[in-house]
This record gives sequence, structure tokens and C-alpha cells, in this order.
Amino acid sequence: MTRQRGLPGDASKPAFVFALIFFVLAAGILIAGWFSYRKSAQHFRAEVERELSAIAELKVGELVLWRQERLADGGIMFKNATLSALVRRVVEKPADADAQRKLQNWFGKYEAHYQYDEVRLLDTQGVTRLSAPAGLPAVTAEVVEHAAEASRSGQVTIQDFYRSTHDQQIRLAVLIPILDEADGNRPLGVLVLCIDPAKYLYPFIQRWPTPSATAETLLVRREGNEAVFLNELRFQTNTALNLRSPLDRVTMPAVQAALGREGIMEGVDYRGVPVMAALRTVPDSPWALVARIDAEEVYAPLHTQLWQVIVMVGVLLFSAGAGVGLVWRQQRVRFYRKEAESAEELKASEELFRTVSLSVTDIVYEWDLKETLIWYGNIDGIMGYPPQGFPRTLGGWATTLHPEDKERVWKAVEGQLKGATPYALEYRIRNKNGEWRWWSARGTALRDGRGEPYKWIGAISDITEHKQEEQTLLKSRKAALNIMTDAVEARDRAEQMSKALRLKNLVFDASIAANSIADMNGNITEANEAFLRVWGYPSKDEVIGKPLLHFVNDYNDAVAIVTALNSTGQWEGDYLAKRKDGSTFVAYGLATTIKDEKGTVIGYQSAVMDVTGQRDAEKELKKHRDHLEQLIAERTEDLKKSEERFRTVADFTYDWEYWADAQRRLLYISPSCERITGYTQEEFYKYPTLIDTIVHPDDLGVFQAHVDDYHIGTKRTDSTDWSFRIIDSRGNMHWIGHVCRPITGEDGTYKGRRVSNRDITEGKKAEMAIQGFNESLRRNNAELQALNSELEGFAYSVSHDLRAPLRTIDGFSHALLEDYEDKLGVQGKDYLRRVRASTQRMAQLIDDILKLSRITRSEMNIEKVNLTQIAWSIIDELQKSQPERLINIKIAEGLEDTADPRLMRVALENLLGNAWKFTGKQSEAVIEFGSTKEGEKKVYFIRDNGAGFDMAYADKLFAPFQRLHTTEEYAGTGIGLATVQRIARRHGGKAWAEGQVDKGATFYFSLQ
Amino acid sequence: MLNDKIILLVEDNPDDVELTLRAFKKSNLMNEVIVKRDGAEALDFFFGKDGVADKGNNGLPAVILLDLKLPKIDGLEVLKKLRADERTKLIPTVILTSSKEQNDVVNGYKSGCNSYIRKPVDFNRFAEAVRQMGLYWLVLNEATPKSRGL
Repeated sequence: MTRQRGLPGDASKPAFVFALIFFVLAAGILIAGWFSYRKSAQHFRAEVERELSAIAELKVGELVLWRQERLADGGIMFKNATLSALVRRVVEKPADADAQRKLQNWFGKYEAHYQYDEVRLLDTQGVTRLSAPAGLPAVTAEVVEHAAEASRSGQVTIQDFYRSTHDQQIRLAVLIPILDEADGNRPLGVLVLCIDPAKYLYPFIQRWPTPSATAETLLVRREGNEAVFLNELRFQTNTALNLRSPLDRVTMPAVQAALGREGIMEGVDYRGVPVMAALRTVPDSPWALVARIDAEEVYAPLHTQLWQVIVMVGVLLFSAGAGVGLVWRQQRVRFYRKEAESAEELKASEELFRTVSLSVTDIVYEWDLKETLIWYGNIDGIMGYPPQGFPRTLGGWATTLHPEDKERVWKAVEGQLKGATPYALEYRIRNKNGEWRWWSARGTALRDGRGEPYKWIGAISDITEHKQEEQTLLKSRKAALNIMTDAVEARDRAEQMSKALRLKNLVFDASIAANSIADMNGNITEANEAFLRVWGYPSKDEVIGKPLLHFVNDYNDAVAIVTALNSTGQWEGDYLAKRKDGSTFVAYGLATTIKDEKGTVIGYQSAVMDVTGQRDAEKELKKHRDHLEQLIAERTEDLKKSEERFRTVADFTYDWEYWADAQRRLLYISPSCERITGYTQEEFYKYPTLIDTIVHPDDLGVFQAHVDDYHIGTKRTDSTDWSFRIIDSRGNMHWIGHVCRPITGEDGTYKGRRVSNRDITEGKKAEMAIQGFNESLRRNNAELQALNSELEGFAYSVSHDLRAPLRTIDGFSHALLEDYEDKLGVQGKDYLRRVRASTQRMAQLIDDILKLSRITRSEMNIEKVNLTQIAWSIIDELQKSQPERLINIKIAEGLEDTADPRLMRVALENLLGNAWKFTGKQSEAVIEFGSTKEGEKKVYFIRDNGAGFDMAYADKLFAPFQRLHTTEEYAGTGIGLATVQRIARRHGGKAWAEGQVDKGATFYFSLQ
Repeated sequence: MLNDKIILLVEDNPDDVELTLRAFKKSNLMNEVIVKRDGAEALDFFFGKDGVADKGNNGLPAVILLDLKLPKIDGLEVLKKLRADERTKLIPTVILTSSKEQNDVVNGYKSGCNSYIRKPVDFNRFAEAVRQMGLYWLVLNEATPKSRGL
């Protein structure tokens, strides 16, 4: 079967179309990429050019400004009359030291404060006449030349970069011609201000406003056919005035600049590196400025951009290729699928062909999955049938199948048909002679495009001979295996036995017990390491062969042991053993006889341990136990004695003591219970609830609650102290003070409560009496308070009601005096005046009573009070009311106390007011306020040298309304000192006075 | 006009009334003085059937002189009532009393009195106090904004 396997004709045409599409796309992308790069490169270049131009412009601007400033500096000195006068004096009179000093001074300022490092005065011959710093050597010839020019032109000029001959420094200079104005502007000399460009100019030129690795600005000027670099360069040293370039190197920006070109150029700089530069000439100067930057730095970002474009183009190309490829592939897949479907049929026939061509020994068959079986090969011959005799149907074939194999075969067929398992198995078929033959079979179901089986192809081969051989082999192998197993088992058993024996020996040797074996005659035949150690023998040789007796201290012990062994077969116990050196030790041993298989005794073996230490310890232990028992006995005796003592003490306690255990049983009660309750000890022991019955019914609840709290443990404070009442056997009530404590065992368990009751009836009575007393005191107090408020009400009505009639009396007296003046006559008017005076005095008295009562009633507000200060303020007020009086006032400093400040002010007002008043007739009045000590107490005093008083009336002074002088003599109502006394008393102190008629008085008061 | 202003005097003591009127006269205060003998009468004057409280500013007194100790309703109570009412709360009220008790002074100011004058026993001083009071409340003190609006 032949079929064209290549691409079908209609499939190659699209491939060409796809390639064409791809090439068009690629061309488009490349062109777009190129243009995009070009555009951004142009844009970028323009940007850089703008930046370079801007920087160049900026620098040029500043350079111009700088030059103008220098010329301006010169302008200050130019045509300066003072300066030119000084210069004339210096030039024309070299001996004029004063002029020199002044000029020198002036120079010094320029040198110190401006950026000029040398200042010189050249005379018309170019000789340096004066300089700062002083004594500079002769100036460079170039400068002399220019100075002469400046002198001629009469203009301030700048001497461009030159190299000073005296120190090889590069400088610029401002040349200022000094003219003698008085003498027709005759030149006197030239002032030279030398500038060191390294100070400002070079750093300024070199500065670049943005961070850059290669950018710099440089200054050049043209000298003949050369461009001269004027400043130090970034990448080359010692260039200023040294580096020169011929003007024919036109690619060099510096040359172009020196030629006067302006604008942007690309060229090669002094290092031979391609650069981009902005060129500018500096107006009014020989300078040209180059702002340059390496092309590499400029284009570095552009390279990055180029790469980006390339990558982008690459990505786009790839995507275009992939897209086109994808479409193309899909078309091809569709084509191949069609191909594959037609190839399926081919495969089926090919399969059949291949199966048939299998080895000839096999028989191939074909099954239509229904009844028909087609056999290829000599199936009839092999099975002993005549030609076409072997069944050609499935049903017929099935009858030849061994019944035991049927199920297996059908299952396998089914598994293959469902596609789950391969069909490969062995089964038995009966031949014509009725003989069972073993067949090996393989088969496969052929499937259509949808996977459905439509035919079965299989092969079978006779394996009967092979099967029989296998059976024989299996049998002989089994026999061999049996023999081998027996041998291995025997070997294992032997190994185990020898191992047990070895183990036995090991146990014997390694035991910590002293093991030994003796023969029938009692001679040692074997002993272990422990034996040698315990008995003190260095080697076994000294032990083997020796009789047992040799190792026992007491002959009788040995006899007893052997006798026991011979009669019972074993012995166990302590005996005294003898070591090699003759010392003995207590041995605890276990010995048995050794018998052979027939039961005949053939020897003895024993295991022994040295128990001397153990036995000693046991003895010691017993000794301790005995001692302890003795101690306990002694303690018991002591306890008995102490209990007796305790009972004696307890029985004689005055208080009623008792002791109840945790179960509330009365363990002990002191005999004094009888004294207090009238009931005996016995009665309390006999009736456990007796206590409850004698407690006063009103207190019983509290009492029982207390006892419950205690025993239950809800409230078991260490000591409670409270009281309750009982009724004694005679019916009298007693107050009992009750104290109890919990009793706890060493482990903290509760063991009951111990109670001490005391008869406190007497104390209680006294306490109640005090309570009654307090009660009556409270009542009195309340009464007093009521009285006090009544008094307050009284005072209030006094102030209001008593004043009203007074006002009427006064008012109408006044009306009478005014309205009926002509009818009253002199005497009548006098009477009415007296009426009015009395009413006013009474009003004053009423006010004073009120004041006094207020002082007594008002609340105290105790705080720190500065009495000195209060006294002074009172004196100030008094002085204001009577400014004409001259009084010698002495007030002690720092008088401070804790008191009510308002009351203290009132008291001092009264006392100082009195002193003021009663010294009124004294020509040299003295008032003194101070403090003194009376015993421990601080006492304040107010002393005056006024009217004084008779000591006989000293007590009356402090009574209200008590006066020692008439109102005519001294005004007043007599309430002031009473007020002072009350204030002193309210502070817990008192007031008193000393005095003598016409000799003054001293008033004292104390606080607290 | 100064003399159009009414003075209300609340005072139970006829002697004091007489003396107060005399003091006014001595001080050349010719205003109409209406006298009420107790607190109830005084309140009735404002808030009674024909009370002046509703008549606007024409009937309202320019100043009230109020005694504290009054029959029926005492002075502080009267003052509180006047201050509680929107119509009367701005009328200047001067407490005129014999009491100088701290409590009375404090309560008087707390209840909203404008001045507190203690009646002196000396008639001359009393007349002087009344004159000062009249001068201040009737002459110098500007009327409340409410009355000026009319």
C-alpha cells in the first residue's frame, strides 16, 4: 500500500504567504525602531546643546560681571584727590614717611579685604615705589609696559593673565593711572592691584553646575598663531599659559573659540578625545570660553536608549515571527489530523499481518468476537484430530477447556475486551486422546477509531513438556532444602548449648559473691575472682586442692555445714571465715550439693559474701533503737509531770478557762468557773450544753455564731476579744470578757479552741455610766447649740428692731429742730440735741454688742498669720485718720503665729486703737508691739505711754461696756477689750493688762 | 423728664416712710413716691389685677426701695419674684434696711439687688444716703435699653 507522505500541495502555498507577511512586518518594525531612535537622539542632542549653551552663557555673564567689579574697584582709586595727593607726596618726596605710611595703610586694606594679593605703586618709570606686602621685588616687564599705556590713556585697565617674574605665579592685574589733577592731569604713577586667579577665578571657571564626569569650562585667548589656555584644566596639570595649540588645528574647540567662533561644535579636545563644546567670546576682553563635555558622556544615555530600541525591536520581531508561525502551525495541525485518521485503517491491517508472521511453533487464531474461530497452523495435528477436526466455534473450543481453568480464561478475555488488562495466561486443553495439554495463550482485541473492539487476534503454544520438567525440578529442590534445614538446625542447637555453658562460666567468674566448687572429699576444685578477693589469696593456685576446712575459722562450723549439706542437700547461714593472713570475717553463705544425672552427689558448690560490715550496722541500729525507746519512756514520764504542773496552774487560774476539742467536746474546764457561773467543773463536764443555757438569751445568737465560726473555720481569727452576758446559778447577770485562740497541731491541723472568760461586770458598769454621762453631755451640747442660735436670732432682731425706734427718735428730733427752730428756744434745741446724741450712742452700743457676739460666734479659720504686717497696716490706717499726730511706733519684726487672721486683725485693731486713743494727750507718744516669753509661753504685748489705768480695776477692764474713763475724756463704748479677751480665749489663750495712771499701760495676750 | 420717674418705696414702718419721704424732699427729689406696706402689696402692685407690669414703661417705677423685714412676704422674696419676671427684672432695686448682717447683704446681692443701703440712725447721714442713691439711680444711671426704645 503506497500513499504520498509529504506535505500536500495546498499546504506549501500558505507557508510562502506567511514568510512574506513576516518579512513585511519585520521591515516595518525595523524602520519604526530606527526612526524612533533618530528622533530621540536628535531631541537628546538638542537638550545637551541647550545645556552647554546655557552654562557657557552663565559663565560668560559672570566673567563680565567679575571684570566690571575689578574695574569698579579700580574706579574707586582712580581720580581720587586724596590718593593722588598722597601718591604725589610719595613719588616726589621719597623722604615723606607720613605719606608712605598712610598709603601703605591703604594698600594693606586692599590686600587684606579684597582678593588682591599684591598692591603696588609704580612711578612713571615703572619702578615699584611702594607695595603691600611691603618690599616686593620689581614688577614683571609686561606689567610695566601696560602700566605705561594705562598712564598714557588715562584709563583704568585690566592686565590680562601674565606670569610674574619674581615668583612665577600667574596673575591678573588692575592698572589704575594716578593723575595729578592739580597739574593738568600729569601722570604720577600707576597703582597695580594684582589678582591671584587661583583664589576665585579658577575655581569659578572649573565649577560645573550639574554632576558630570568629564565636563569642564576653559578659558583661551589668541596669541599670534596660537590659542593659549589660560586656566588649569581638569585632565592636565600646569596648563595655564603653558598649553598652546596652533590655530590650524581647527577640530579643536579651543582653537575655534580663540578664532572668535561662537556656538556649538563637535571636535577633538586637548587630550585627543571627541568632545561636544559650546563656544563663547567674553565681551570687552581677549578671552574666549569653551564649555566642553566628552562625547562619550553625552552619548552614554543615548547608547542605553539604542539598546532599549534594539531590544524592543527584537521582542517585536520575535512576537511577529511567533504569531505568524502559530497561525501557520495551526493550519498544518489541521492537515495532519486528517492524515492521521486515514492512517488508522492502515494500522489495523498491518497489525494482523504482523501477528500472522509470528514463529511457526505457535498457532495463531482469529476470533470475530462472536462464535467463529479461525486457526492458522496445524492445530488439528497437534491436538490429534483429523484435519478440520478441532472445533472451529467458541462453544466447541470451550468443551475442550479444563473445567478448573474456565473461569480464569473468561475473566481474562473479558478484562482484555474492556481494555483493562493484557491477555496472557496458561490453561489446559484436552486432546483427542483425552489427555490434558498445557497451553500458553496471548491475545489482543483490535479496536476501531472509537476504541470499540471489533476482532480478536491471538496465539497459543503447547507448553506441556516444559510444565512437566518444571514439576520434577521443584520436587528435587524441595528434598535438598529439607536436608539442609535439618543440618542448620542441628548446628544452631550445638551453638546454643556451648553458648549457655560459656555463659555459666562467665556468671560464675563475674559474680560478686565468692563462688567455689568442691569435690566429694571437700577439696576446692574451682574458685572465682571474688573468692580470692574475699579470702585474700593472690592467685587461684593457692586455693585449688585445699580442703574447705582451711577456709573456716571454727572446725565445728565446718562440720555443721557439711553435715547439713549431706543430709538436706543445702545450707544457708552466717559463719566465721578465716582469711589467708589469719584474720576473720563474718561470712554469709549459701551452699548446695552437686549431683550427676543419676542423682549421685559428686561435689559441693557455695556462694559466700562478707557481711561483717552489715552485721556491725545491724548491731548499731539495735543499740540506737534501744536508746530511743529509753528516751521515749523518759519523755513520757516528763510529760506526765508537766501535765500535772499544767493542771495545778490551770486549776488555780482566776479566769474561767476551758478547752474544747475540734469535735466541741469539753476537754478541760478550770475550777474558777464555779466562782463566776455558780456551776461546778463536774456539772460542766456532765452537761455539755450547760454553757449555752447560761448565756443571756439576747447574746446567745452571737455567742453560738462565734463558736460555730470557730469550729467550722469560717472565721478563726487568732484572738477575738468581745463580751457577752451570762445568768449565774443564783440568777445574777455577769458581763463576760471573752478571749479565745485556735489550737493547732504541728502540722497545722485544727485541734480545738482554748477559751479564757473573765468577769468584767464591774468594768462594764463603769463603762455604761460613762456612756450615760456622754449622752447627757450630748444633750447639754444640743441645748447649748439651740441657745446659741436663739442668741443669734436675738442679735439679729436687736440690730434690726432696736435700731428702728432709734432712727425714728433721731429723725423726728431732727425734723423738729429744722421745722420748728424758732418756736423751740435755746433750751428746747439743747434738749433735742441731747436726745439725738443719746440715740446715736445707743445705736453705737447696739452695733458693738453685735460685733462682740459675732466674734464669739464666727467660725475659726486657723492659718499662719504675720502679726507684724497686720500691726503696720492698722497703724497706717490710724495715721491716715489723724495725719497730724506724731507717734513713735515700735513694732517687732517677724511676729508670726498660727491663728485666725480676721480675729487677730480685730484684736490688734482694738489694742492699737486703744493705745492710739489713750496717748492722744501725750506730747511724745510711744506705742510698742512685740513679744516676750512667760515661762514656755509666747506672749504678745502692746505698750503705750498714755493715760494708763489704776491696777485696782485691771480685772474690770475686760468686761463688756466697762469703762475707766468718761466718754468726754476718751470716746468709746467699752467693748474693745472685751472683744480682745474673747479673741484670745477662742485661740486658747488669754488677755491681761498692767498699767499705772498717767504712766501708760501694757496689754498682753497669748494664743494657744 | 427726671421728675416723671416713679419711685416705689416698700416699707412697713410708717415712721421710716415719713423720714424717707422727708429725706427725698430735703434732697430735692420731687418724683412721685408710691408706698407699699408689705411684700404682698408690693407684688400686687406689679402683678395684681391692675398691675403695672403689663402697662409698659409708663407705669413701671424707675427705682424700687425695698426693706428686707416686711410683713407677709419678706423683701428678699419680693426681689426674687421681680427678678424672675421678664417685665420687671431690669428695674433697679435698692435694698434699704437696718440690718448689716453679712448674710442679708450676700443674699440681697445674690437675689439681684443693685445696691444695698443700711439705714443709719443719724438722720443727717440717712438723708445723705438717700440723696446719693436718688442721684445715682434717678439722674446719673441711664435707663435700661428697653425703656429707652419707647
